[in-house]
Amino acid sequence: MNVIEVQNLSKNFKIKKKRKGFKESFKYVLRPDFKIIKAVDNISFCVKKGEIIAFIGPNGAGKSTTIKLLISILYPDSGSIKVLGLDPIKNRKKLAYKIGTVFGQKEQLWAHLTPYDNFKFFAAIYDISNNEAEKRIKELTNLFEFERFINTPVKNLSLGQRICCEIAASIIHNPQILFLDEPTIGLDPIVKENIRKFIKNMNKEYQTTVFLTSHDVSDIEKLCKRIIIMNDSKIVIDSSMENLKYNYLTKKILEIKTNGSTIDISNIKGVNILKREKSIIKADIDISKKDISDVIKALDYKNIVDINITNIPLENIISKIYSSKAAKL
Amino acid sequence: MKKYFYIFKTAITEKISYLLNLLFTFIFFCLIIFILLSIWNYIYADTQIINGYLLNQVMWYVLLAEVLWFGGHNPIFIDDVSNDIKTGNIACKINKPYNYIFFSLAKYLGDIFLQMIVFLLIGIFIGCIFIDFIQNFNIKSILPIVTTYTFGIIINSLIYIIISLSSFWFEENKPFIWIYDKIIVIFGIVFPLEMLPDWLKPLTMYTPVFVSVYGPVKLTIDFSMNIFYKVMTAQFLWFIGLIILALYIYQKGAKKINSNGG
Repeated sequence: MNVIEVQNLSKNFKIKKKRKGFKESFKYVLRPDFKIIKAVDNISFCVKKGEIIAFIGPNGAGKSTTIKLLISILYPDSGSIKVLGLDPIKNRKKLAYKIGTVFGQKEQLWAHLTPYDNFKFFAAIYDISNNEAEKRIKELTNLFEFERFINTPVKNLSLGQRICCEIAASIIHNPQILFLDEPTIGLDPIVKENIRKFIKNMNKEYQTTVFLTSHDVSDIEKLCKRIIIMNDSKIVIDSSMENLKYNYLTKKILEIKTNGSTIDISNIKGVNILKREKSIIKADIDISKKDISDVIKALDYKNIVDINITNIPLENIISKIYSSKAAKL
Repeated sequence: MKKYFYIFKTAITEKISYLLNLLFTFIFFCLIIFILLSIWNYIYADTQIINGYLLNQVMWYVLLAEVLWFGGHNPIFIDDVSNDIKTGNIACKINKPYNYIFFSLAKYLGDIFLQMIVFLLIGIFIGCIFIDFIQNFNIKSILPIVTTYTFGIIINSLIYIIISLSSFWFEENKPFIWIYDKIIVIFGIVFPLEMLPDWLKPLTMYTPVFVSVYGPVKLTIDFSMNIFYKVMTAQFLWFIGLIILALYIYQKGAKKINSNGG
């Protein structure tokens, strides 16, 4: 069952174009120039119930704009959106009860109140009864381990603690879809890991669909089974994580440690030496040109102490996709 | 309605932390009151009554009008709404299951609730010490008077909210706030509307000054059912008109949100 259906969605922004210099600035006041920026250009996709989907792209690709369109903050110029069967613009209030949103760079909590007061506030906003709210706060407190700071004003919390509270406040009403816009931005690895664990648990326990944008590849790798990549306002890839790796993982990293002797593999087709030190050689192998087994067979085993073969990190694959698409455009 | 009351209550809770910030405003309030009362004392030196006002009445008018102005003023809120619109932070507030205008109104009223009570108590205290009790004040009229004060404060808040919403179109809306503040101060606080030139008096009946300051204060110092009905009718019409206007502006403005970028 699809919980999000987007068809031919487009959104343009009309931006004032400033002119250079003193004289031109005066002319600009009388006759302002505008330029149209295509933020989202004719995109279509669907998201199934219970999916954790990574919606990524370089800065300015149109990810946040798409989220804002999905949650009725922005009005589309053309195309259609259905979130849980509802048109976000026509059913904004109805939809608000069913979705949760977290913008990592924006605050929605009341800074002078404690997390507890904030949760009570959000519960009241979502028409949750007092008893139910208390139960839910207890549940979230256990999940996020809030006990230590549930009665500390939000303004005195660390960034990690605040983001956890932001997420908890956004899911107090147990939404069917959670939109997370860079939720782990600026957080330390432990907090990031806790948030990921929580998202996974929530997805497993409540079948919550998670729509995630992040620049942190670990978030994507550890949480998502499907990935949509946007570049220059268009969707350039919509694939499962497995397919992405299969199609784009054309290289493997080979690291060889020798007993001090020199080994030369640079003459093997598809091998590119990345680093050569005294007893260590690091190379990437284009597996579309040469099988990894052929490269191993060509090695002189006598002088080899250790061999390590790894995949190229997902981060490199994504960077390659960003840059290759950008180059094409 | 319940959730808006909760927003109101939450805003009060949050404002408790700011209560000490009012200290400097109190000093300024007392200074202004001292200056205005001295001026009116001087003006009434050779006369008993001006435009139907005794010195006691005019002093209480000025004092209570100041209380309404200082108590109902909330520059932080106006800046917050403007900044939210300009920075796109409004995104976090408008995708919740409430009406943003009623959310803003409930928050505005919650923000000013404590300061209004404090200013009112201090104002009454200063009045009783330095002016004497209000002449001919009837305790039975307290309920209608409180009703007009409440509506006056709500109307004033709605005007500030509407001005804040102008940020959808204007980079800088402080000049609008400045103009509105000055209109209220000059025409509503320094002297009662009766003291304006005859040609201007009828016009003032249709201004926010009449419904948000003059009407409620006039009823406190000189209550009559006739004025009460007049004030209530005007307040009701202003209230409905401003709500419609605020909803319309917000609806138009929300379509203009240009928050591209994360």
